[in-house]
Amino acid sequence: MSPLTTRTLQILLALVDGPLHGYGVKQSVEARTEGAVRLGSGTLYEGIARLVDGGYIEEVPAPPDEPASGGPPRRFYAMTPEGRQALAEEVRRMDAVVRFARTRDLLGEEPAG
Amino acid sequence: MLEPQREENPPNVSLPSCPRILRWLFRLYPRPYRERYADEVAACLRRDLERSGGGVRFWAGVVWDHLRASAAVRRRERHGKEGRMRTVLEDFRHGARTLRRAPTFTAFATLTLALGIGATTAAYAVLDRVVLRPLPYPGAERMVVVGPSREADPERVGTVSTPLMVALQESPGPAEAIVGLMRGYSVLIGLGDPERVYPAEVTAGFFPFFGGAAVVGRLLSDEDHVPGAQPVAVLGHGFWRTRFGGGPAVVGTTIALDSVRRTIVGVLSEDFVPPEQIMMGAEGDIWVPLPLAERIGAAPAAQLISYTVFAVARLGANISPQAMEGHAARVIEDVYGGYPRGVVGATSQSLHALTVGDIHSVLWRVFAAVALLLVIACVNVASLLLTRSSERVRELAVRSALGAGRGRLVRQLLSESVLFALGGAALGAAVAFVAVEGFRRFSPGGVPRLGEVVVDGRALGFSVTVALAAVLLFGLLPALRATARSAAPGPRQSTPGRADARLRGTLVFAETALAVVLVAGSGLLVHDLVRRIQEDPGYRPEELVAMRVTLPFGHYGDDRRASFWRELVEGARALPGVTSIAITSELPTTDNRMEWAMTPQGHQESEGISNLQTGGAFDATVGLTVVDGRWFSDYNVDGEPVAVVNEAFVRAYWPDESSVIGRTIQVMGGDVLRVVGVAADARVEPGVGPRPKVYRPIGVAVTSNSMEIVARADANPAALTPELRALVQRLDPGLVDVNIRTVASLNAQALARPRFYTTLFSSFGLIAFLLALVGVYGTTTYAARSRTREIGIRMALGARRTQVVRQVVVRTLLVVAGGIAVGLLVAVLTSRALTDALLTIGARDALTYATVAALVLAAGAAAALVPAERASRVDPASTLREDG
Repeated sequence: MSPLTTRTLQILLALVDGPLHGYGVKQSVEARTEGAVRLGSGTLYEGIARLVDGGYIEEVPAPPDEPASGGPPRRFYAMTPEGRQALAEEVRRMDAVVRFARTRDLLGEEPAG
Repeated sequence: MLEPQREENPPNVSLPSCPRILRWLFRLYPRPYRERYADEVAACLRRDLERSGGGVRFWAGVVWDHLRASAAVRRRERHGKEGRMRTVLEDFRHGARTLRRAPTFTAFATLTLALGIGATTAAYAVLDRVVLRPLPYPGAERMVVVGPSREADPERVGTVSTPLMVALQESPGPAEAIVGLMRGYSVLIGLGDPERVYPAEVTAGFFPFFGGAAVVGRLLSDEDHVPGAQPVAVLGHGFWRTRFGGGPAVVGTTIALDSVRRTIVGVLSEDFVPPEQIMMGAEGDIWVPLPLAERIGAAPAAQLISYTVFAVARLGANISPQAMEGHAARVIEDVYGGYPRGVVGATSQSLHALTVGDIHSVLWRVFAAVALLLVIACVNVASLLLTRSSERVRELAVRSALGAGRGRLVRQLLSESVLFALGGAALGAAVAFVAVEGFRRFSPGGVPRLGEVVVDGRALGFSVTVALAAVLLFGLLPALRATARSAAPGPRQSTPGRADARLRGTLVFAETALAVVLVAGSGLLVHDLVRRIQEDPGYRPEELVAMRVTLPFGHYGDDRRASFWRELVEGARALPGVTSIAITSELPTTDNRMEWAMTPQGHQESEGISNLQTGGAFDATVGLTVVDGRWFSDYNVDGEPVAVVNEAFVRAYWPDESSVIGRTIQVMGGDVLRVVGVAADARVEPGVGPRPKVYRPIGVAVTSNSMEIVARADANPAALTPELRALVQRLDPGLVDVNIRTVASLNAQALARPRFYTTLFSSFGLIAFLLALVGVYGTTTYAARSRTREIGIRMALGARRTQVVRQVVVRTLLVVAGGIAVGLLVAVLTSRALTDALLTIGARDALTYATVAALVLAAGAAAALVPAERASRVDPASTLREDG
């Protein structure tokens, strides 16, 4: 049974390409879902905290190429192997659903190919 | 992680544009969360604010967002890391619920543990007080008993003579101080009826040496020991309370001990443990000065050969006992001008070792046995838990599927074990209290310091430690196994893993092996005891009653004494119900310490040989068989010195003679005895091998102070007791030192201690045995149940029931047999620990081991048969259907 909710799944997806700070996660999610999934400052960190406690993501040092900003130091988060595994499982599960949906033509207009 | 914030308010997040609402929002979160994430959340919020420009809608969204998030955080906290304590409580609650649902299992496991923990705690309490703790005296660890070492038994510390005591006190050498004490008995007159008391005569410095303090008056002073001083006495606290009502007016009153009036000068405090009590098991009622100088002055030669005083030395720091022994040897040489006859030097023994002496090994043995029992109990509970957790595979799988991690499951299972341990420890403490009380009440004596034994904080701490260790031992393993299984979940799983079966087998194996060690040990003790009881004593103790009469010192002149004994024997002979009467210096049942130096014919050296002087129809009365020659006639009217020896004497000194009648024995400095008969060996003490004995006619005029009158009754010997007492009262109303008992009861008394410890060990053995059987039963039940399908299939395919039963039983028995083999091996290897407790059989008695092995194997087979039989009754169809 997956421990991932929609929100935590989105956070994990945002970290696929590398470590991000909290606000970066929020921007990435909103950009990728074109605003369909919005993370408020509270729910964003609630999700991050849950993933940290579950061992799916961890705090990492800021990447060296990250320019020092004026404000308080920003903390970066990266996916752990457990997180990647949980994400893979979840995606596989979704993939199975999608494949089934395709065989029954549930997705509507199927791109030819 | 951030440093914890000190102020209660949310951290200053340097948000000039952040209104008060944000502070209020942060308070919604649990503090650790707030401390960890507040600055990041604030930074994030500021960027949002910058982007959107604020506004009511924005802030309404923020509030809503944080309400949701904080609720989620708090909800998670209840099950998450921050709420670990709550989780632990929940685990316990869950554990308690689970246990309540299985009351039989819970009761059995808790009782098993309670028994193990309680017995171990009790044994520890006794061991701690009696053996481990130092004696309650200043510098007790440096105290040694010192004395001459004798040829016959060089290791044993002898008592010293009064001149030696004086010399040692004058020249203590490497010792800080040396004191002496001597235990005698006296007749106390002046407090109601005359009675026998055991005052200790002590040298100067005795009380300071042992740290005694007076609660009333004073203790003995050096002046009390000066020749010609007024006779004084010091009372023990208990004696003072029971006889004098515990009032201070006792100081100055007088009591008469034998014929000496003594003034009481003081009373010892209650917490003083009399050294003679722990050294000799004496009461410690009255202390009087030991007048060394006076005694030596009165009879210097006699005092030189009379070794009666215990000398106790406190060594200086870092002084070895050997240095003390060397010094004492030189003092002996000085006093005697070389070593006296039979003395080969000086030796010492620590007061503690002397006190705990042979009880030391007995108590360690008891402790080892109960510790073994506790381990068996733990193994048993472990295998019960394992069985149970295998039955709970589905429950665990479901919980794991619902998101409980392995750690969580282990914690939950362990919390059940902790509940067991706590229950076991609480109940075990109660068991320990009862056990210690029982031990105190029923132990047959010979355990010094038993009065000091209590189940105290130290013992309770011990039991809690034991309980916690037990949890780790019996709880962790099954918990790890169970959760490892559920990690590869299969709610429909019907056969346990191979590793599981192996672990289960190992537990039964270990349990059987441990139980066999205990059962074999107790089997040896029981076997030995039975043989001791059945042993032919060599005489007929039934219907015998013995009366020891001791005349006070200086009570009669020689003539009056002789006529007193004669009148006593004649009076007893005339009593109705008496069929035969004799008088003797010692009973054949007691180990006679009266040894005379004698030289049997054909030997060069004289030997100390036990010597009984008897009169009357001794052989007929006691029932002693004369195997060769004849018994001497009553009171030796033969006119020449004659003797009867026992068979042990013949074996020891004249092993090659066909008949020893007419051979002679030279008594040192006295008669030459002609042997007229050989008597069968009379057993001294059950199980103690017979020693060479010489029976001699006592002569017409008995002048000894203390004699034993032996009467054979035609019916109940105990019925003669009042008649005999009345007879003594008629002859001399002033005599108090009369001790009447049946010889059978004396024999029973001699066996009381082995009987007690054998019973103790057998009950341990029995419990271990039963626990092992429960283990075998449980494991077979489980194995049979988990193979129900297989059995069903086999039976559906035509296997006969007996085949199925046999297969299940044989599998279990192989494990049991392995356990028995290893257990026997360990028992044989450790049997040395029992050697000194066994008198009639060796510690490697093959018959005992074989019996134990057969017994455990047979019982194991029975315990395995029942569940196997039940398993074979399964309906094949139903088990297969279950699989659908």
